[in-house]
Amino acid sequence: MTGLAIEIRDLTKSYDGTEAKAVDGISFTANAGEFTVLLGPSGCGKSSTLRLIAGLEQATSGAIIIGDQDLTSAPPKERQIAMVFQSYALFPHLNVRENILFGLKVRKIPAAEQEQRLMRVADLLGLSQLLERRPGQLSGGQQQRVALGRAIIAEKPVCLMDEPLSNLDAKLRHEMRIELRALQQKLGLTMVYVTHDQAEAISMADRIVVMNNGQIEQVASPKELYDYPSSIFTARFIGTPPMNIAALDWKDGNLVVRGDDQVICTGPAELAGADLSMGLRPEDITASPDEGIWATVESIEYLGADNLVDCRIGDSLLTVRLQNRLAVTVGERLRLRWDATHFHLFDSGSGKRVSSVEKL
Amino acid sequence: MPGRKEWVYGWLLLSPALILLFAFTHYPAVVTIWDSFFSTPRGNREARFVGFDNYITMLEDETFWQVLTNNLWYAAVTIPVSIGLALAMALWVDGKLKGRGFIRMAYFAPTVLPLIAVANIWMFFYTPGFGLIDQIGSLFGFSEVNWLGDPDLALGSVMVVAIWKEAGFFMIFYLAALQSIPPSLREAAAIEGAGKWTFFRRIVFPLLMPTTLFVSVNAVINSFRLVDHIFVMTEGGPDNASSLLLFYIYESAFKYWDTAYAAALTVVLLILLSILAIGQFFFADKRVHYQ
Repeated sequence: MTGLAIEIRDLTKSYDGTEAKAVDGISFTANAGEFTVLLGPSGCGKSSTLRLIAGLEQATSGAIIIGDQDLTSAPPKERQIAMVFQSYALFPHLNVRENILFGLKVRKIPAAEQEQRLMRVADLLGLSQLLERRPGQLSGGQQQRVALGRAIIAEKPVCLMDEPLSNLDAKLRHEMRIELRALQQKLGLTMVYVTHDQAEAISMADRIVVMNNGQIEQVASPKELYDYPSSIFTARFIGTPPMNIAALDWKDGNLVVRGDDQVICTGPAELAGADLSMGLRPEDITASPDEGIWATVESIEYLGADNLVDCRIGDSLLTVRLQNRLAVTVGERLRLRWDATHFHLFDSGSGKRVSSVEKL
Repeated sequence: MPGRKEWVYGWLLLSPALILLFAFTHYPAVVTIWDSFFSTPRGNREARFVGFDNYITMLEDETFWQVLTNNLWYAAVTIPVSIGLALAMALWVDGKLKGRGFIRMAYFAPTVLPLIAVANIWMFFYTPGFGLIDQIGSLFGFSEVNWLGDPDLALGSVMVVAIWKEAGFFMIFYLAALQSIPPSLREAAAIEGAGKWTFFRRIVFPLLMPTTLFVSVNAVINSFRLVDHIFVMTEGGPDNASSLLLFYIYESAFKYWDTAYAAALTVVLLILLSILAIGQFFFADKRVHYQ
């Protein structure tokens, strides 16, 4: 079993009786055998996109190509997909064995092969001891495994997951993340995974599709997304605490933080007068004794190894992650500095990245 | 002190239900059983103990056997047909249907109507010659039929009324149960390639079992209990062709004033219903999955 690529072309979905588009003309490709995550806040259209790929909803326009077949309007069973639902969607009256075998029985796979595949999957997921139990007698994590078992026993090249970990507690979620990723790589599946949890996306994905308001903000690898967010939305969505965004003003061809007059950097001449904002991640800012921009400490959040220190420069408040041994107090004046590579510049109006200063 | 007080409060709170239950259910039931072993008091003749005489009379009473057979047929037809119809209608109105609110209401309407009123409506349907059914029939060239007067048709005709009345009521229970099935189960089944029929047979029907059990117990009880329409439509006739057990009990007690015999018949009805209800629970227990 090897994965198939999924290509989405200009996909649009609007529900009956509403003007608003749940999915608004998106295009991307989930490469064969890769782990693709659809990431975004609730209502951004990521689940609708997944349901369109699954065939549970019909697209208003656009195309869905799985492998090299156009399956835009094909029923779910012809799409060579398996799916894990957020609620798991286990059949409550059937035991684990019957739940996992449901699809194979529907497709009338010979009994001997059913049993063989069941044993393999049960082994892989550690369900061998639980086969006779009903979903109601299982813990959340075990139910999750059964749902997973039902998806992978089908041996379909594509696996779709809709927030499968959101009902689990934090510790279990962390374990399942690692397990899911390992499983996907071992089986070579093409995985399309929907989540609103950026940490989940960053830790599991080969590629992340960031969505907002039914549209795609950025498609990139986790590292690229973190290092070069293409918009303020993506920048703020990835990373905890989120990236600081500060409005800038022009002063004699240089950029300053609005409400302050210390020069941050030389402004790119071709953008002179444009309304710009800078972006800096809390972890990319350091305090320096003898260089950098003066700022005033307003509040300190103690996190153990680090402190999150809110520093004011002009009209803006910047959160800075400082090591605990650098003792700071509220009201203290600090000098902040950062590497030019960690400095991001965005157009305040459109929220888009200003590319010309990428390597400032 | 507070302990004793609570004990009193407990019984005080229970007493309204207890009094009603004992006065109108348990006491009459026990008295009925007791009376069934005595003769009917007439004039200045006291009731006297006759042992199983009333029951022996019953065994030799041809009307009793006919009425019992009628009732068993009545149950055997109305129970499965009304449940089947209810399920079919529920599946239909559960779907994405235009004006389904209206259709749901239309199906439920017979349930809100009193059975006496329903029977009167159906009298107009059944009237030979100018009743609705015969009028429609005459358009297709069928001749007049005396639906309620023909011994071969009378029982069937009252069955139709009972089914019409009950199916809508049971539909509401099925509809509620159907709507409690998460839509993701249908989607999961669709992804696994299950068609509509497979999904119904393997998922929906088993999940509806608790409802089916509840509805069928009710249907069994109703098939022995609901006789109001018999009074209006046929009075058990012609020649007891549409008489049911409970109607016969009424006739024995309040038409022929043979209260002892009526008591014995009541005991038989009680035993019959208990056996059926207990049997259903035991039979169904292994097949019903409660969530």
